[in-house]
Amino acid sequence: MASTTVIQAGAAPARPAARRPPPERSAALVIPASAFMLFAYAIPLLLLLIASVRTPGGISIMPFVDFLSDPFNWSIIWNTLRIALITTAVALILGYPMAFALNSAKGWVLGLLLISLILPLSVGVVIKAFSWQILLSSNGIVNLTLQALHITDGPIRLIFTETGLVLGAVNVFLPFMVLPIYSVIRLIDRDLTSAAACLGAGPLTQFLRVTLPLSMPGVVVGVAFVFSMSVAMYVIPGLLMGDRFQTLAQVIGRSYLLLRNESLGSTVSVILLLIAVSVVVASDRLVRRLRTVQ
Amino acid sequence: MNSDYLTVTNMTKRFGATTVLDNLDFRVAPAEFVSLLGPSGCGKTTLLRLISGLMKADGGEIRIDGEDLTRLPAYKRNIGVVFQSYALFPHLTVAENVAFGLKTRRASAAEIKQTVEESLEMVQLAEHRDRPITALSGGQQQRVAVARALAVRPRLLLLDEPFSALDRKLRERMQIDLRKLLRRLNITAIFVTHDQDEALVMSDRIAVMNHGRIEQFADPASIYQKPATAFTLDFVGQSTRLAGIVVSSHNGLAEVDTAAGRVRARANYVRGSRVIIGIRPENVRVGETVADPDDNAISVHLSDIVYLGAKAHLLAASESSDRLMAEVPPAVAAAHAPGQDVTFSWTLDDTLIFPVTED
Repeated sequence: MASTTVIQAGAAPARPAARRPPPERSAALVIPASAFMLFAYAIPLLLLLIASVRTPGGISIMPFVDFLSDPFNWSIIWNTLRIALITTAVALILGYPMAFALNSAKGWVLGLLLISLILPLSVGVVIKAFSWQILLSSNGIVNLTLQALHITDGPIRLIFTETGLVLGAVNVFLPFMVLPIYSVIRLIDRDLTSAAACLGAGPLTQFLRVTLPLSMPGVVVGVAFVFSMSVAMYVIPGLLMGDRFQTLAQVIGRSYLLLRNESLGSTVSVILLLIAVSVVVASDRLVRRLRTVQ
Repeated sequence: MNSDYLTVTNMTKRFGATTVLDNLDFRVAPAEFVSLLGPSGCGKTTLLRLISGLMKADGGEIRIDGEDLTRLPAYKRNIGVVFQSYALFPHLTVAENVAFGLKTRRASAAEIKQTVEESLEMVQLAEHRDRPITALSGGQQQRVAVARALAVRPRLLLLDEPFSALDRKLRERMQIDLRKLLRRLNITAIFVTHDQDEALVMSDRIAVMNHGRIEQFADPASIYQKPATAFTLDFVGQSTRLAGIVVSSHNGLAEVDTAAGRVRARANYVRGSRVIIGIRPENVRVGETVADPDDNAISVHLSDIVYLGAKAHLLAASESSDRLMAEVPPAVAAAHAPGQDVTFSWTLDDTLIFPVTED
């Protein structure tokens, strides 16, 4: 949801404005999607918000106070945030150069890279998480390779560790980091780095002062995608970490499915939603601030 | 003219199997304004990118003021470039765009502030200094691009069709403004264009390019009045072209048979040579008796009259596809009508003649 505001914030390369249909006519184009979102998203969200503050004694914020006053719950929030931040950071570190590789690739190489990026999206998350269980097990291919290369002496514990979880999560979410960044840098006018060069900027300065700032709108969208998906992921931690490791998503799942405690489930859902939205909005603000400072 | 500020020697550039520039030599004098004029694909933009260092040459040498730049990357050459797309940084304001080159040179904050102020003053954009680039009109963006390139005091300014996106009125004013500015700053500039009028208006000298070669490099008057090749005749200005065969040639006077009739020109050719006769339309007189017996006169059948405002063109179709064209005042055009038979005449000196080249 935050991605729409972020895309508007992105500076398009300077070029004559394209002819656009009048705004009142293009506004009609969002009606179908808006109607769908209203019934499938906005109304259920409103019901969830109401459920989260409804107590036997009437409307109250006590469910939130109760949840947040328990130190154990703070460790759950911290787990959730930490894993999501690490996953997002790793996806960004791997995805940013990959987007540039895509941008400079041509012909069949580009096709191959795009296919290898997009095709895995058609494999379900459950299947991928199970595959990682097999790969990461003590006699799985990852451990066997590490031993064969004499990097480790014996099998190391990967499955049911945070490292394993981040590996699996990055694998699932990487395309959502790469594609927005790629779509933004693809539109950066190549004359801009040439112009910077003619003004005395070496390759590093060209990157830091032209390409990087112009790619930030894509980074913000990618971060928003990956963070909001990994902060709410449910299946992947369940299969790669098990029940001992508690995240907010798992608490929500257990509240509804196991404990039948809708009040707790909706309260935690709203907390998770607030965390996701505030991190995404904060990263967008941060980038805008950086740009005005420059 | 002392023409050794910029020297480009034996410049060669190939793209795969295609040779875009072939052993090209090119010299520009200090503070000179030179246009590279030619059709698209003639190699003019390639030559500009080679000089700027944005493209690597396959052979040859580039020197400015004696210093060999051939192996220097673009960011070490200190050559200003104004791009066709302007290539202004969309994430920076007007002033920040102009300051970009000063910052990469680690100029002091005070120096940057002063130079930016002066540069924007120079292109009359001082009051727009803090606006985002995207809020400016095309003409204003173009001026920011010029100010940005000049702010670092480059030793050479390269301009790649900088006016092509502007409408005609604005373009004509900016041509004159830019020319004045560069003359005042004493900057050597090379200007790429496919617009002959632009080249004639602005340049000290014009290099007419075709197929990766310079066909002619001369001042605008010579280019127009004494084109060295049939290509230059055709590309610069309007003209009548008549293909013909030399039937006799002695004492520097050649007689040529064309589809429109026999034409005399000052030249020595072997009998039977295939040539092209060129006549500028403003040199053609209509319906007058010929004073000098050596002058050319052909009776033609008017096919069209084209009214152009301050002047008009009378067109005459001959047997072949060659068309004869005469430029006349509108009043003279009004006295004629298509279908009429008239005499077109022009002097021997105004008869241009070129050998037919194979290409």
